[in-house]
Amino acid sequence: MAHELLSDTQLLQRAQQGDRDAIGKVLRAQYQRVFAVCLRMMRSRSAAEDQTQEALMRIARGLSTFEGKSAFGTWCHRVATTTCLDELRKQRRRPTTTTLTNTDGNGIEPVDDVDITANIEWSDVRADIREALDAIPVEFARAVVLRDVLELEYQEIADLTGVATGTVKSRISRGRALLARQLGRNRNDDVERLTNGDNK
Amino acid sequence: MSDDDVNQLTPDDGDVDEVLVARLRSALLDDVVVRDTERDHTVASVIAALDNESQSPVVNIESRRRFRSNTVLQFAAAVLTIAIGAGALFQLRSGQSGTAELFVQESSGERSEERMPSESDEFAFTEESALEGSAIEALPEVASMGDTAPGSEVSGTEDEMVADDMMAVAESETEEMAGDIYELESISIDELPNFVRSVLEQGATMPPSPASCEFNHVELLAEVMLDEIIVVLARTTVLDQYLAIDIASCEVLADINLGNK
Repeated sequence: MAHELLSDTQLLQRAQQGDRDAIGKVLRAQYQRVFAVCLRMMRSRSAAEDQTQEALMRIARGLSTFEGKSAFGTWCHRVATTTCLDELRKQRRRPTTTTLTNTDGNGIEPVDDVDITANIEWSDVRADIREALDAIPVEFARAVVLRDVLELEYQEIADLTGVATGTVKSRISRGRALLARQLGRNRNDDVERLTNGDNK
Repeated sequence: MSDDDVNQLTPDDGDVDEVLVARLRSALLDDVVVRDTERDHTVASVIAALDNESQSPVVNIESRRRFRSNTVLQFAAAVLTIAIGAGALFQLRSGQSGTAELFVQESSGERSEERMPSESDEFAFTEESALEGSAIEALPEVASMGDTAPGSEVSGTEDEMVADDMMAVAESETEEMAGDIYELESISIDELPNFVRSVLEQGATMPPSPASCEFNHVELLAEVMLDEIIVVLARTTVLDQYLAIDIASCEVLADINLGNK
């Protein structure tokens, strides 16, 4: 059966049996998420690319033992974060400058190869989030992103940021509240701006 | 209110705003655009690496198991001593410590009571182990050994590092090894080759096991902890050299040639 006709599950099974074409398709399908995770965790785009390759290698090697206890995408996400954590630990660095909304000044690339119209709402949301993250203390924003976006455990965040797990928890809690408040404020500002604009 | 004042907060107990989380993930993960050429190139590289690995006999190195034969531990210490003495591992300066002395010997038969890893304990790159990664739990400081690999910069004095690492062989037991007693004994480097040969004659090898690292044409000999790094000692079957491998990073830290000494 041609791969194009296979379901995701069947394709994964083929990959687990060592079918190179299927492995390639599975890895391509996961590449965007794995790269995005690495981009958020590493300091530079080039480092993110390196860790993406390493993570994909781990995924490929581990395919045969993936048992489906979690969603495959979730598993890949976790492999990616683990790969980056390993690298950061090796480097013995603290991610004090972990970039949340941008990397190398170019972390989020302009959406220039897809239908611009289809991305208007998306871009608006992204800008809103970015403004909110930039508006709150960076340690709170970082904690929220590491937990809620990258899904790291508290202890892992503590190790990365060099603070106690209790502090991590408090930062997450306060960061979430600040973000929610900030996003609400932004939304109100937008409404006010639109309202004023309509009145002009 | 300082961070420490609110350490008791449990942020997952009800204050998760699912809508906010979804928006964050969309903005920071889903919205990242990748180049098709970059993606295809990376995937092709991974596939090529897989193909290369499958083309020759492979010995797997298993990460979390300990092979705790007294003899093998002695052998491991001996090989490490040779490495240190020869300057292969830490590039000793000439004239320094020509008789580096170190030996690890278990003082009792407690090891015989240690449980052997069950199948569920094996680090077989199962789903869970892949998620955990090789270094997360067991090796909180995996960088130190890698940093001292040949060719890399060495921080601190070499004397200090040698002393630290020599002691680490005896001291760096993990929690699961707590309670075992080790003693340092001395042996001269001149005596080591014969000792190594006698150990090899006894067939000190580790059985192949599921793996996180893969190396071709090597025979596994022993695992030791060195400065919180699990180092696997292996012998190449082709060149009859010995390798010290950091299994957290699958990095060859040193190759040791005993030669005809």
